[in-house]
Amino acid sequence: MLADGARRQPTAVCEVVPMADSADYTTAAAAYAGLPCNEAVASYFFTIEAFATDVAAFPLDPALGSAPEFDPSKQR
Amino acid sequence: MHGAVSAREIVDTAFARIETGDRAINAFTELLHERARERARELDRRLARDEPCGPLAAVPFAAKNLFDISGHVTRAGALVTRADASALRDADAIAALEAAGAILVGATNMDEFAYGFVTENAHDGATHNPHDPTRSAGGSSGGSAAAVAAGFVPLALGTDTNGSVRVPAALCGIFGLKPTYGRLSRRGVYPFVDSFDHVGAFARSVDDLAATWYALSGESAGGRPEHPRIARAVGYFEEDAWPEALAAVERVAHRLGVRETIEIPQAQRAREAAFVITAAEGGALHAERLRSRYDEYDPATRDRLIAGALVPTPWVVQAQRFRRWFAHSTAALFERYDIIIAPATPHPALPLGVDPSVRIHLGKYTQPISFIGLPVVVVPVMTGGALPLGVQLIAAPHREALLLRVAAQWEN
Repeated sequence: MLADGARRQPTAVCEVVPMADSADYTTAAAAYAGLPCNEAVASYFFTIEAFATDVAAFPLDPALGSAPEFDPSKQR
Repeated sequence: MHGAVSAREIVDTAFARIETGDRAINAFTELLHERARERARELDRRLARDEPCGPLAAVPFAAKNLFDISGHVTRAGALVTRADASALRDADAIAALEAAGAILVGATNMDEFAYGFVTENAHDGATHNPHDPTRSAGGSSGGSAAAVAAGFVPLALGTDTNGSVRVPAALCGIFGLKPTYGRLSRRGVYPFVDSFDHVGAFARSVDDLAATWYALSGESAGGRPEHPRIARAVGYFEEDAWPEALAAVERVAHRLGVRETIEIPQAQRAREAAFVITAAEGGALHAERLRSRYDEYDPATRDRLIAGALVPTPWVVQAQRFRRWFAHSTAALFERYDIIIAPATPHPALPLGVDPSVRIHLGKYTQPISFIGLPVVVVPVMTGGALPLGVQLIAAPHREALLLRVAAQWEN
């Protein structure tokens, strides 16, 4: 079920493409959401974007799907 | 217990200690004199009748102010909650400790909505570290940790989403437990990030922490003697660590006879993914109220919540998919080892008021672990300076009893 580089061809099914202009995005998205936007909001957003971009660069098996279940109680 | 001291005297002593000492610490946001004294009277009546009172009989405890307390508004470190309706019943965790005989004496300070590692609250003030009041107690459960470290109460409840029990336990030099994700009820706990929120506890001794765990979980104490296989986490878990933090891990490793080391693959990405999910879930939870009551939020919290509310869905989905991969990858490590030890924080407590860009690193070693819900006991370590540090003992899901036994081995 999970990525195993030795046996399966890893595929990034969900790729985060850095936005051409994140500042424009935060301004527009905040306006759409009815929320105020300022430099601090944009700065935090850029940090999240950088982290999301790195997470997206990790190849995952498509079998993971788009709505993964996480239940550690099943690991008992 | 018979005749030695009454529950009422224990409670009165706790209040006297808090009222004198907490002026310098600011651990408590609310004291529950009437409730606690009524509860003490009830326990004294039961004791007089030789009725069982529970393993935590008359032990005073505190709870982070995001736990529901019947008849009181659940503050969650915020101003915008102050006019909310009062809780109709106690949070399950409070009810479980009181069923074991403990007595809730007050609610404690925290970062607003649990979004922080320092407990410098814009509305209720900063909680000061009992080891050095010019420094942070850590957060977000800093009030609970400081209340225990200062000797106001022997036990306290907190919550841990990205490290909010483990960071303050380490910086205040006490024991902290973050159990397996989903193991303890969160009913009556103000939410932050549903994917990672855990109820946890603080104590000054392993015996007290274990008694708290067994009362909260309903599990029985005991377990067979064993010789756990323990490894020290290296690589990511050494990066950015101050020499004191590495020395603390070395001391614990030496005491426990640990010689082997292990790398936890993709720990950095696990932290990043935890960051993305935290921002998005926290932002989604607060977006509606931020539209209408923006000015009532702590500025340090609200800008991060707004940024989180703007996160595109595919980023969150990918982070959750990675979470599943990381959980399985890390589970394989526990086929070779029972426990992994790692620092709790990169450094000791920082001065109050330090720049937010520095504070964020306090969660570097805790976030990858809560990301996949593994149980952790933090053990305190003094490394020669005035300030304590903490070391995480990390196990596979549902191995809290083993962690407590190994923590006792460290303590003794």
